[in-house]
Amino acid sequence: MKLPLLAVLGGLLLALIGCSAPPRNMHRLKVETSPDDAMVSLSTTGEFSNQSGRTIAGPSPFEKEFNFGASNRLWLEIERRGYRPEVIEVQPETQVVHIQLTPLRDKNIAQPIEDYSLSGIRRLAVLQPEFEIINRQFSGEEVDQVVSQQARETLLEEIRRYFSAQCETAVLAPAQQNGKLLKSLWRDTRPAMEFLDPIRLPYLPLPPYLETRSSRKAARDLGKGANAQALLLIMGKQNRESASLVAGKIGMTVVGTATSYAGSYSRAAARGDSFFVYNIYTPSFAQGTLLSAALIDSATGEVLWLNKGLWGAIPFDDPATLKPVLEDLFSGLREAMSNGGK
Amino acid sequence: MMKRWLIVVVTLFLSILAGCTLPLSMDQPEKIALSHQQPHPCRAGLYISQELQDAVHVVTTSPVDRMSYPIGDQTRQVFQINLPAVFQEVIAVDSKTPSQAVDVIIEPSIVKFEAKVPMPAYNPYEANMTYHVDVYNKSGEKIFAQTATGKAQSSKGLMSGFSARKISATVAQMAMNDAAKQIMEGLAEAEELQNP
Repeated sequence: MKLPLLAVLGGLLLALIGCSAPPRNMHRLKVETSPDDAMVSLSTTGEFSNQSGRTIAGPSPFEKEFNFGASNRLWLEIERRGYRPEVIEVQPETQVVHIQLTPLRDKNIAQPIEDYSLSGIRRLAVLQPEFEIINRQFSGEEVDQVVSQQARETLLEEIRRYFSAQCETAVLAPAQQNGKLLKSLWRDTRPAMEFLDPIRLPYLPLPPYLETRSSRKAARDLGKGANAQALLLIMGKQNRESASLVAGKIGMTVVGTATSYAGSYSRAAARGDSFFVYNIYTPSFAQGTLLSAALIDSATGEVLWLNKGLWGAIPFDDPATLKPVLEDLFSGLREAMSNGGK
Repeated sequence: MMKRWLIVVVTLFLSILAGCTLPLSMDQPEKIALSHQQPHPCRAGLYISQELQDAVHVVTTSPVDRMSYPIGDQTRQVFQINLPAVFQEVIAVDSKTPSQAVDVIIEPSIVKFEAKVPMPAYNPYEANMTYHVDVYNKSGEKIFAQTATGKAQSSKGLMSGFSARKISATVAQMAMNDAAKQIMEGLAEAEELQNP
């Protein structure tokens, strides 16, 4: 009696899964661009302005299986630094796409826009992180100022250690003389951390800059003061739940964690996954650690690199646990600084 | 007797439904403490577009309940209250058309507002507000633009589950104030606005 019941339930589940999965309409497509190394994104609607409709297929050239879905068509967006972005529609019979990209010129100096590169950073100024530890209880929450300060110091120390083999580092403490400049720099960096897509940033047709003249000037002054070519800003928070809250929640929810965008993309690419699906907005979390990082060119105010991610609760009194988090957060950054790549 | 009970139940049900769809009640915004010294010595026109004025963000929390955040009206008030700390004189203008009556026109807008009403209620209430402001001179030329993101979080949910609307409104206002403070400080610092 039990066995037929299980079979029926299993059949029902399989049918439900089958009903919810999109129709598979797989066809091979080869994408080539001239020049190569352009980021190819995919949309099933032709709409790329909304991040949620975008899937990353990877840098060109490649040949992959694409799901053309029920509509039997797809749109590709091709982006490369210094070139006009292109959107094209493809169908299963297209098979091979070759796109000749058109160079863009800097409107101020009428020169071609330079390719993305992270080389030339010999000294890095690390700003004191904007990081808070929030103790959450059933009836409220409170920022633990003492533990937050310890966490900021541990973060700074471990970040310096992480980059020590790469370049010299200096720490920009929130001193009186720097206060106004730091405030100005942070003000324009926060929206960049919120809205710029970490994966597509090196491929964006135009380099993104800090928005206001005062923050670009702040970057210049701070960089000059620290004799650094780039400024590294880290922000985030850790939500910690009290033992009673955790005990009360056991069995009711599972705390989900995601890892960094750049790290997830690198791992997906290494596995040979055809598509990388992500959303640049951070999910809500009750317990865990959110970290965002941005690297700013101190001379120009250009946003050179950024990444963010969500991890589990990090015990900051045990720096060893921070190392894998930093490796994930800064995924690919040290290598890009060494070889000038993306 | 039966009829009276029916009327009571129906009235109660309709009142609950009406309560669920009313906009969140937000306190009047407070003046934000700013660190700068002197306001810009010019007359600014504050232009609030109809689109911004009417902006409402709706979060559906259940089939019969939704939270409606009057973010446009709050934004108007936040700028009306705080802009006089940045410019010597501020008047409301109803168009972006350049005018001799003002030196600069300030046009705020909402880039993105996000509110998280937790389910279950013991998770944090969160809100993110991103404001953008454009500033035009007397010739109608854009001379300054700035975007600022403000964030807020609160964990008062479980002990006051019936106050979810109040907590949501408070967290939204905290995020708006955080973003508005940065916008005001950016405007106050802008060299472009010293001699517009």
